[in-house]
Parts: sequence; C-alpha cells; structure tokens
Amino acid sequence: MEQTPMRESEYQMKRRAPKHKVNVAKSPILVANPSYATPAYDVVTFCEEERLFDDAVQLLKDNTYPKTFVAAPDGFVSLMVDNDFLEMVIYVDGERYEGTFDELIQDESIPLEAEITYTVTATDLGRETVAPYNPAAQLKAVFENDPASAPVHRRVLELCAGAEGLSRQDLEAALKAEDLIPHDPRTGLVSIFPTYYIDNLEKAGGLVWKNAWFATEEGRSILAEIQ
Amino acid sequence: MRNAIVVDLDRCIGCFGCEISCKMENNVALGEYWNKVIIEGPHGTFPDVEQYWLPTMCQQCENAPCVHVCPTGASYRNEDGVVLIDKSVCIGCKYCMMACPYGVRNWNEEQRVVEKCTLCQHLTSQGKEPACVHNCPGEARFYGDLDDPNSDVSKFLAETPAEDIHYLKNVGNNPSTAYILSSRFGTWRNGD
Amino acid sequence: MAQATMSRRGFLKTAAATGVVAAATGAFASNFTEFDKALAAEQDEEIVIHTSCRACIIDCGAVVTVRNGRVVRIEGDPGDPMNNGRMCAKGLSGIQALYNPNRLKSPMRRVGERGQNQWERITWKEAIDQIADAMMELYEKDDPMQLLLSCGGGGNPTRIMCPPRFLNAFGGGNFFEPGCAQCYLPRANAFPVVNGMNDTSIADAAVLEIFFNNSKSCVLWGTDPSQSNVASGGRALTQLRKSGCKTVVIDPRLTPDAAKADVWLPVRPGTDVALALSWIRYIMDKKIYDEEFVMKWTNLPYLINEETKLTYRADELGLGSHDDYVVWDAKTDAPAAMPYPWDDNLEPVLDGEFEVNGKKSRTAYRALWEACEEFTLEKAAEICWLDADRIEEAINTYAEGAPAAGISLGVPTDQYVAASDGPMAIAIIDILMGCINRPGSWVQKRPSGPAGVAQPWDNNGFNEKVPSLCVPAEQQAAKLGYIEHKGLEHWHASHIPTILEAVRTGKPYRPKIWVDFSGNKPIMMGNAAGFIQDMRDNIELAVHCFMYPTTSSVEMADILLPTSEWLENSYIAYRMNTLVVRQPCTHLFESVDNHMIYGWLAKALADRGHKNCQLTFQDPFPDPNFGGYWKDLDGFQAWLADQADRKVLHKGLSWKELCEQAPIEFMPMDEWQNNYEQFAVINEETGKPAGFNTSSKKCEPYAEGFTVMGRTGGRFGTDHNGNVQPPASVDYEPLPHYEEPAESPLTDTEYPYVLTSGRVPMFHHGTLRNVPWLREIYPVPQCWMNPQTAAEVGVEEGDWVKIESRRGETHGKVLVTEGIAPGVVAQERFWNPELLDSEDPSLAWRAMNVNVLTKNDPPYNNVYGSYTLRGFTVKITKSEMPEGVWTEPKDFTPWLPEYSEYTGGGYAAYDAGEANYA
Repeated sequence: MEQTPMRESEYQMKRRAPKHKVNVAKSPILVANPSYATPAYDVVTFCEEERLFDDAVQLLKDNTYPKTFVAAPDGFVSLMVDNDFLEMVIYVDGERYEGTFDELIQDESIPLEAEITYTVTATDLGRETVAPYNPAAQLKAVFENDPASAPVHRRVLELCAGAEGLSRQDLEAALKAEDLIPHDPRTGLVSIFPTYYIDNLEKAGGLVWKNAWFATEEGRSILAEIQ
Repeated sequence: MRNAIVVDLDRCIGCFGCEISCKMENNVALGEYWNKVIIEGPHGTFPDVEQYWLPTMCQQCENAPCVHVCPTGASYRNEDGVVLIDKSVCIGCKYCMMACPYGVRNWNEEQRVVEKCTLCQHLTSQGKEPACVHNCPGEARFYGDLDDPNSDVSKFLAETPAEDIHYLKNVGNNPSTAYILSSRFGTWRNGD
Repeated sequence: MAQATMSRRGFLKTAAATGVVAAATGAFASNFTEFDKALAAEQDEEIVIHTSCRACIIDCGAVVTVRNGRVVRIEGDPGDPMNNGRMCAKGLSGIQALYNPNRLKSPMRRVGERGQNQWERITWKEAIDQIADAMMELYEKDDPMQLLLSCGGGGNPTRIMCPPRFLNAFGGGNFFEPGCAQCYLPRANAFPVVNGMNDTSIADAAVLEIFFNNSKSCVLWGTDPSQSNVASGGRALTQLRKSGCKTVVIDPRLTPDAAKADVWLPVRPGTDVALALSWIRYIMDKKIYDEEFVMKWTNLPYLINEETKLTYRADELGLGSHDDYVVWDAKTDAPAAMPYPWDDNLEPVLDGEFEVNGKKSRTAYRALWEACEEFTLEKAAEICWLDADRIEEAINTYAEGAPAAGISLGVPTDQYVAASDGPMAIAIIDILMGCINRPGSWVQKRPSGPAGVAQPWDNNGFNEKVPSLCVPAEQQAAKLGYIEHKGLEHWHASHIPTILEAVRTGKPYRPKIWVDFSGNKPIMMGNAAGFIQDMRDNIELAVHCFMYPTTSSVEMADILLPTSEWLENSYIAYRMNTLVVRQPCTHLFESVDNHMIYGWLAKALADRGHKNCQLTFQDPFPDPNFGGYWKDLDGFQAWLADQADRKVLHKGLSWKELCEQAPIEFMPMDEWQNNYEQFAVINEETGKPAGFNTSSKKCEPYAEGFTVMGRTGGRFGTDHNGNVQPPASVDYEPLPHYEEPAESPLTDTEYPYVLTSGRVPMFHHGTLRNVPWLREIYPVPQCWMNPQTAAEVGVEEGDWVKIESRRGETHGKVLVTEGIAPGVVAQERFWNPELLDSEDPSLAWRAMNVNVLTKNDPPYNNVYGSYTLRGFTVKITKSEMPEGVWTEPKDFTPWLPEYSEYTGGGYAAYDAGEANYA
C-alpha cells in the first residue's frame, strides 16, 4: 500500500516528539508568562472542588514560588477566572446569584449588609490548559527529552533529597567534584551550567527553593520511578 | 530702516530647527506655520541630482501686497519698517493671504485671525535675535537692518558675490529677504 | 478586562487596573506629596538655567528658561564651543517631551498577561522591594549570570557603562544594547587597534577637529551629521563647507550632507568594504600615500610570519630583542631587526616578498596590496553600483587635502557583517595618507573625561583597590557569546543572538531577570518579532525603566519604573575644553534619573546581605576615581561633581557651585587644541617618541591586534583584567576583506530589493515619536525609492507599500526620489505610540517598523558578533495605510504638553535608608 508522503516538517516533528506525549498545546497565556505556569497549575488543581475565592488566593500566598512571580495573588486568581480556567460563582446570603460581578455591583435589590461570597471551580479548559504542567508528567519529560542530561538531573534530585536540602554553592561543588558538569573540549570552559539542571527540575516541580534547594515529593517520586 | 532675515542656503541643512524655534517662541498651533521649510529637489536624474532646503516666511516686502489689500489696516508696516498684523483689528477676511505671493501668512484657527512672522519683535526690542536666527544649527540665518551697512545682514551680503544672492519671485512686491545660494551648492529655482 | 479581585472592597482596585497609556494619563496629580518648591519661581519670576540637552547623545549646552515653575523656552548655550549657542529641532522639542501627558507617573505592576496592557499603580518601595527580592533570590538559588540588563535606544536613557557597572557589583550577569555590536562599538574598538589613537565618529564626539575649521577635505562615509548630530557636528560641517573644505559623501541616500557634497557616491548598501579596498588599492598603486609616515610610523615595512599571521619579532629569528620588529634591508639584502622608533642605518624595502629562514615572508605592505589587489576602480564600481570615474574623483578630492583631511566612518558598517572590516579599511586609508594627528586631520586624541561618567570599577583594567568589584576570568568567559566575539568586551557586552539562544534553550544557563533601561526594544532589535517572542516566553521577571510606556512596556514587562526627561536630570558632559553640566530644571511626578535606580537596587541588595553591593556603599570609598553607589539625589550629584573635579576641573567645586558656574572652560582652547603629533613627542624617561597605543607603537594597518585579540581576549594578549581567555573558534584576520552580503540583490530572486536605513533630523533612535511638533513634520516613515523602482512595484508618491523580508512584513509610505539608486530602498525605523492603547497594542511596533524585517541569524561579524540591520533584501508590494495611524497635525493634539508641577520627583517618594554595613 502506498503511504501518503508526509510533509517534511511533520516527519521532523515525529522524530523529535518526546516519548511521553504532551497532551495539549501549551496555553499562550502560560507560555508568554513563564512565571505563571506553576501557580496556575496549583490553583486550578486546588479548585477541582469548589473553593472560596479567598482560599484560592491564600493557597498562592502559602505556597513557595520564585520571587520572579510578582503578580498580586488576588489578581492572579482573577486572571484564571477571566480566561475561563476557573468558573466563578457568586452567592448572596448562601443562595447562588445568577448574574455577573458587574451586574451584582449595580443590583440595587441586594441589601448592602447581604453576605456575598465567591467561589471558584476548575473548568475543563482550565484542567486541559494546566495539564502539561503536571509535575509528574513534566519531570518524566525532563528525563526523557534530554537523555544526555539524565544522570545530572538524577544526581541533583538525590543530593537535594535530604531533610536539610542543599545550598546552591554546595550543590554546584558536589556536581563538580563528581565531574558531572559538561565542558567544551576546545576551550575547557563549562558548556552547561549547573543552573540549567536545577532550573529544569524547579520548573517541572521537582525542586523548590526555601533558602536551600529541596527535592519535592514529586521530585522524590520520579527518582524512585526512574531508578 | 529695513529689518529682514537673510538665509544662507549654502549652510541650511534642512533640520527644521527654525520651524520649531518659531513654534516654541510664538506658540504656533499644530498644522500652522509662520516659518516653513520647503525641500527643493532632488532635481536631475540619479545620481546627478541637486537639492537644497528653502525656509520660507514673511519676506518683508518693500511693497507689501498684504498691506495694500487689508481692508481694516490690521496688516501694516511699523516705524521700523516691519510688516506686522494687529490681530485685534483683523477681521479674518483672508484677502492678505490671497494677495501674498508666497503663501507665508497663517490662518490661526483658534483665534480666527491671520498671523505671520513678526521677526520676533518681542525679542529684537530687547536686543536679542529672532528665535529662528538664534537657534539655527547651520548658522544659516542672519537678522538685521539692510539699510545699515554695519548690520550682520549687510556685512554678510557685502561679502557675498552678487550672483549668489537671490530673491523669491518678485511680482513688483520687492521682497527684502535675501537667499544666498552659490553654484557649488545648487541652482536657484525659486524666483529671480 | 481582568478583574483584579472579586470582593466589593476590592472594586476600586479593579478600576485602577487600566491600559497603560490611560493609566499614565490618569488623575495622579492629587496623590503627590507637597514639597518645598525650590525650583518653582515666585509669581512671574524667571530663572535661566545652564544645562545640557540629551534629546540625542551629543549633549549640546542648553539654556533653559523656567517661568513660574514651568519650562517655557529652550535655546543653545553660547558657552558651549561645539554647538556655539545653537539648538536643533530635537532639543527644542524638549518641552513637549517633558510635559507629554503620557509620561509614566509612578511605578506600575502588570495585572494579567504580557501584551494585555493592564496595570496597577504601586509605590517605589513595593517596586524596589519586589525587584531586589527577586534579584537576591536569583543570586542565592540560581546563578548571578542569569541577570540580564540592557539599555540603549535613545538619548535620555542610561549611559552605556551603567549596566556593566551594576553587574560588577552584582557579581555576574550579561549586558546588551541593541546598538553595541551594531552601533559604534565596532568602530570604537577597531579604529584604535589599527591606528592606536581614536575612531572617527562625529556623532559620538571622537572627531573634534572639525570645530577648528582647518580641514581642507574630508569624507563623510555613511554618516550625516546634518541629521544625527545637528547643532554640533552638523554645524561644524556647514562651516567647513562654507569655508571651502571639499567634502565627499558616501551614502546610499541623498542626505543634506550628500546634497552639499562635492562628490556623492551612492554606494550599494552592504558593499562599503569593496569600495574602501578600491581606495586603498588606488592610493598604493598611484603611490600618493605619505611615504615618510608609512615607512616610519606604520608596521607596513615589517615582515610577516605567514604561519602565525603576526609580524616577526626579532627574537624569533635570532636577530634582536622581542621588542624589535623585522624588516628586509635593501643594503644587506637580508632581514634585519628594526628597533623602535627607527634605525637610519637600515634601508627597509616597503613592498616585497622574501624568503626568511626558508619560508615565504611578505612585508605587511605586500600583504595589504594583495588583500585589495582585485579591487580596481572598475571592480568596485561594478560591485557598489557606482561609476569608476566618480570613485576616482572622490579619492582625489580627499587626497588633495591630506594631511589636513579625514574620513569619518558612521554607523552603517557596524550594522552588518563587515563591522570589523569597515573600520579596518577606513582607518588604513587615513593612515596611508598621513591624516593622523596632524593639523586638520580627523584622527586626534585630546584631553577629556570619559563620556560615560559611571564606569565599571575595572574599566581601565584590574583594580587592586576594589578587587571584588572586578570581573574574574571565569565570569568574563561566561558572558554569552564573548569567547567567539571578543570585541564585545570593549563595552563589557554580550552577544544578542547568543543571549536569545540561552533564553530559549536554557543553555549554558537561562537569563531569568531582565531589567531594561531603554526605550523601545521592538523598534531597535534585529528581527523584532523573534526577539519579543523569545524574551516574553522565557524571561521570568522583566522590568522596564523609561519616561513613558512603549512597546517594550506593554509586550514584555512586568514592572514599570518611571524615569525622567533630560530637563529633569543631572549629569556632566565634556565639550572639547569645556565642562557642561546637566542640572534639573524641574522634577515631575515620581520619576527619577535612571542612574538612581541602579543605586537604589544596589542599596536594596546590600540591605538583603549582598556583600559585594554593600562594598559599593563604603564611605570613604576605596577608589575615589570611580566612587561607589549613591542612595539619593544629593549623593548622586555630589558624586558627579567629584568626578568632574577629578577628571578635569581640580577646583574642589561642590555640585551647587558647579551648576552656578557651568559651562566651565577647564583648559584654554589653544592649549587644548595644540596636541598635534603627540606620537613624535619625546618621552623624557625613555628618550623615545611616545608613539601610538599599539604593540609596535606604530599605526598598524596590518592589524594583527585583531588576531591576538581573538586568540587571547585582547590586542595586547589578555582581556582587560589581564586574564588570557580561550581563543575564538575562528581566527580574526589582520586585514580587511570583502564578502557579498548573505542576502544579496544580485542573486535573490524572491526578495529583489536591498534595504537600508538612516537618520532623519527630527527623531533620535526610538524616541520622540510622541512629540507633536516633530511628528507633524514627519508623521510616518518614508520609504525612499527611485522612480524606476516605483514603476516596477507599481506605486506613486504617497502610496503605501508592504515591505517584506524573510523575517516579517511591515509598511511604509512611498517617497519617489532621484536621491537613491534603482533597486535600493531606504526607510527609517519607526513606531506608532497612538496604537499602544488600541485593541492590538502590537500594531504599535508592527505597523511601520523596519526592524521587523532585519536579520539576527548568522552570519555574524567574527570580532563583534554584529548581525544585519542594513543591506539585506526585501520585496515590496502596493498596500494600504495601516489603520489607526495618526498622520494629520491635529491628530497629535492629545499629546500636547500638560503642564505639571514640581514634585521633587521619585527622590522624594522613596527613602533608601541608611547604609551601615559592618
């Protein structure tokens, strides 16, 4: 049977596609704002059950994110609502209010003393959008997309799996001592910095910085999985 | 007394500094000009081309048509010989704008009157130069009394070969404003 | 619109999140604290302030009138010898820039996504705290190399040495500027490698001889002072021309300087080096060079070790010491050691090929000849789309004035792959003609302070007084793209395409925090769309510091910091023998001079325990020549006064006294001028002439300094801190060469036209497009094309065209002119502030911006890594004017000045606190 010839780009894509397939194209919102990816994942998965808006905000405040994430937490949850990753429901005195926030503001039939609460719940779009940022999936991809770096990624997680974590300097020194940092044969210079590996693991949810580098629960899990 | 500006087109580099100096000094509105730079060229065929820049403003004609046609006397010549407009008398008929051979009078939309270059009287009365003359980066503008042989303009004209001194097209109005352009820098195309 | 919060009490906060331009125009006036209106005058009181313009980079002395606290008039300062009391359109428009209603009034933080253009106001403290927290965390948990700073793009923003200075304090990081390798850095670095003295930029004030009006001829090669440098260099050129100096202009466009030139060579964009090589060949062939200077003051008689590519040292051949070079002596018909400066007993053969120790060895002169031999006038005419007779006329026009002559090389060659070859070739021409440091020559070096007042502490080499503020060898080597493009070290810069690759791939490390102190990156960067995408998708925190929101702010930034216009700033500038001071004429809103931001961030880092940053606040500072950081305006101004004092004044003037007395002549003009033939002045200690600043102490048209640089880090064998760096993968050649641009109209059938760019007199880089007076003169960019090209495309004057390249597409308005060659189009970069608050803010940088078309992929120049902003190919089709663009004068009414009162600026809104570090 004749095969329909594929366009060159499709062929190349197939050759490069990671074994662990990414289900949904990454959302432009989360791609163009890289510091948003992990917080978005955390909020949307937290809101699998209906949650109070303020509780979702509190989650963001309680979690540890890199300080490059500067968005105000309440504004961030609103952004998730605005983009239909979360559905917001308004309750007036415990009763569901059928209307938008703007309509509520204008609605003179609602007494000022009425108790207003807001809840947020993950939508299907939200789930799909944040799915690529699932730590287990991302961590697996870190190992599978870059097999040459796998030994280093693994070692970083191992070194940081202790109860006290590891400072960046100690981590780098250990990697250097174990000769795990690649060098350019021509110049003798470091060709991939330790931060490359640390960064990949942090973004994937395997490492977290709390005045030292700590492997997360997901980080420890992937270690066990790939042994 | 014949106060006027002389512009050395050998030096004028088309930077529009004079346009903006004038706007700043005289609070001229957007879209309106008392001094406007015209780009004359390029003439010829690539690469044998010529171009010069021609700042235009009131030419301070000796025989000013704008003064003649003005029905109210708003357009007048003062004791120093400078053609000016008394805006309080101007009725906005625009006859002067039609009469001016060079189109250098400006209709002030907001005030509904005509206005034009005043040779920065408010500055020259204090012994300063008009803003455009003062700021010109090419040092191409001169101001003074053409009837006084010791003025900047007279001295400059005196040392300029006659064939390099030009005037905008004269239809009997005798513009006072002289333009210097030597053949090294271009061929005069705007009058004579 | 994103709802910032859903609680009722938060509703006000929601309303505060609005489009950045609308927010900037909002009712902020009432929120500012009242301050002692020191600069505000009493009723009808006028103050006249001597300051310095910064609408472009030349710093013309300005006199500003402030009436009742309002800036009302700007004029040139007669006390400044360069502009001599004159002021151009850009400077004069300073009032409109100062009071532009869209000024950023306070720090802002983004609400929602990048590109969505929603913002909320925050305090300086919140802003500095968030940024410093992120930087400190980066320093501890990641790698300091992952900090990225940038500047450039316009007159007002930060001086170019400020970011590298901060990175020295921070302990790592990369710095880039859209210019740098693509603007002036190549010339500033390359010319001294060849002539051991100085470059010939007029716009950057390297050529100051023009102000003495004593040159007999000159060449403006790709430079138009009448547009780029109007009141200073432009003024001097008008005087020179009027006094009879002959001028040759080499420029694809008929600029005002070209129109007034005695010979105009409209060179094909991208082919300048072919033309320059033909000049060299002609001069050598006709033997019109300065024979004495060539023999005695250049390395052209020296013999070359063809294996190493360097000229022989006498000790290599056992003929003498390492400091001696080797010539072929006609008397003995053998190689002989040539000591510095000369040996009258020798009769060196200038032009020859010999056998030395059994190997071929040419004189450097012969090597130069062979490098340009094929470039006859006819060949150059063919390549460059010129007439051979005209080229000859141009050469002779220039040569007849020598040595009271010079060639000023402008930016074009910096902007494509010939960035090192261009300056090499041009420097060689002036050297051959002896136009070096003679009366009327354009290559000169005179007493001055450094143009960038705030410099890295190791700018002049390793600084023992503050060793931890110097860049160690590994850190220098880690700067992205440095090893391949060693020339970038000249300004402590990194290679933009390598940065983008690191941003995309994370290798060798991923820049994470980006602080940009400039105008409008999408308007200035090569391949603008690609740049935005790479940065937006990968940078975690982006901070933009500027006077008003731009496309950088909207497309990429997370935090905006308001900076001030030149009328509010403080600085010093060296104007020949005169020191000019920039002093504030007012302070508006919460804006600050961007120098203050560096000090505040350093202070905030110091407060968080960053040891190196703490060092910058030592008092007294161990090296007063550079000084430390400042934490408030008084401190910054005191530091400026101290710098002026140390460098030129030596009078102990305070800032206040400096402001009262400026402009100040620090040396009599005739003493300042009389610096000719310094190279021949005998040094008392050595008993030998001072020579030039090269290894051989001679001019080196055989520019082996490049070869050494590529192999070691610097032309003297090390990087600027004395470290030997690993070599680049490709040798840098000691002689210029020509290669056809990668995208060439000779062979490109899909994109048949070649595009170039250049200045117009009413704008500077990415700035001033929001100034009504300037915009009404030139509301949209003109696409210059010859009538032949217009007929081919099927357009007439005033039509709109779509211009496409392999990177993207944009638009322009047709200007049909005989002032450009058929097949060549020219359009200036542009952006449309009016589109920033529209439905699609990206139109502001896409509608009519040639940098959407420019090229940032290989090939790059070897030495500097320069990519291609001019001389690439495009196709053109008839099109429509993009919607929403303002073109009529009255359209710009919303931008007319909105007077605002003195507030004390951001200096009054933020207290950095005390600097007490153990």
